[in-house]
Amino acid sequence: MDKLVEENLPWLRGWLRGRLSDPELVHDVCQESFLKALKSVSRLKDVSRFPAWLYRIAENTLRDHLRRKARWRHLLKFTDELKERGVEPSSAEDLDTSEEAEKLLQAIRGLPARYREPLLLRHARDLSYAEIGAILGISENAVQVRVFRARQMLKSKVAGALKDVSP
Amino acid sequence: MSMSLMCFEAQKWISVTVDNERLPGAVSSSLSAHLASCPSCQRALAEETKRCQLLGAALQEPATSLKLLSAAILEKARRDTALGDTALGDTALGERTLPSKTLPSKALPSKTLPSKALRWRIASWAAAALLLFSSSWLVVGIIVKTSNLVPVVRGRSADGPSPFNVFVEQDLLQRDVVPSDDGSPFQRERHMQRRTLLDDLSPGRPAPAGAARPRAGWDLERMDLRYERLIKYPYQ
Repeated sequence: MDKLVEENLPWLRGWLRGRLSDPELVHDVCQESFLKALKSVSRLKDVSRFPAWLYRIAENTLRDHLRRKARWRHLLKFTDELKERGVEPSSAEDLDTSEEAEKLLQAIRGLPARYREPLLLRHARDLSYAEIGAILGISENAVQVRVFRARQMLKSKVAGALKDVSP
Repeated sequence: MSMSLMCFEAQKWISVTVDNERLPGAVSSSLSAHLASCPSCQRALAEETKRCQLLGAALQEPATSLKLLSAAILEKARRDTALGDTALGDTALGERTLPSKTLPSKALPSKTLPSKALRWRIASWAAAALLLFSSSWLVVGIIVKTSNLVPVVRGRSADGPSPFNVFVEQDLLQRDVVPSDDGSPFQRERHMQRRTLLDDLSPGRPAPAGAARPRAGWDLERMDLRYERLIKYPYQ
């Protein structure tokens, strides 16, 4: 059990961070998804399929949370989260970086799920295309194409947001 | 032998490069050659690399907080299952040596009981079906009650030999159905009075014992018009 958590927590946490901006909600959904998955892990015949299985569970849990939130009209905090929680970056450079990262995440959240998911999984824990394909149930080649297209979309969305980088 | 790449193709392979995925041999050298001669693709590579770093930093949690979260999850999982680490952990890793029969019954998932959501769904379906059934009966009752159509009309001959030989329409409760001014279908008393009157008036027939004689001023003609609706055909 420890091994399963250790191996899969980083990417799940990163993926959820990409989907949600509220760190507490990320924490809750992550924990709930793992608990659900571990509770019924004995039903899983092939343990190597645990990541894909966990991903499905997390996706459903996330959807439930968002639906519940919407029902009670609790608005999610998308921006200014760092300031509200008093976790302010230490320097001006860090502030710029976190703002840019937040802009990027916002843009990624606006992408179609088909392209967003491989990209988020890729950056959540540097998973390889093969691993992402196993989680999403698609081929390695499809992952490569989708990641590329996601980047193209992202590029057009955040054009000008990033600072000029000299070659 | 290296092939030349267009910028669009090069960007596709740049995406693969920044993900640290392996490039096909021919592509690798072509991409290097293209990057050396194309400033826009060099810029694209630099931008992509920076974006990846930013995203990585935003999404990847520090190891310490991951450890805390991992510990919290494991602790809660052990507490929830109330089995300790052995059954769950061994099963997860495929190392269980004990046959499942030796496990206590509460360790096995209860497959027979439906989940809470499913139970609610079944209950709501049953309630909806019951409501539909009762409302359909209510609708049928209202239709029968409000319409003047009696669902089944059976006939019986009038008592005794009578020159009128009438069939008296009856409803299901064997009440005589007599049309009336106010629309109420069942007016047995008035019907009996009229039948007695008709019997009395028949030629050559003595009035039955106890039959009421028609009062003066009865509108016999009108009564006959009403009554003829009951006279269907002669009783054979």
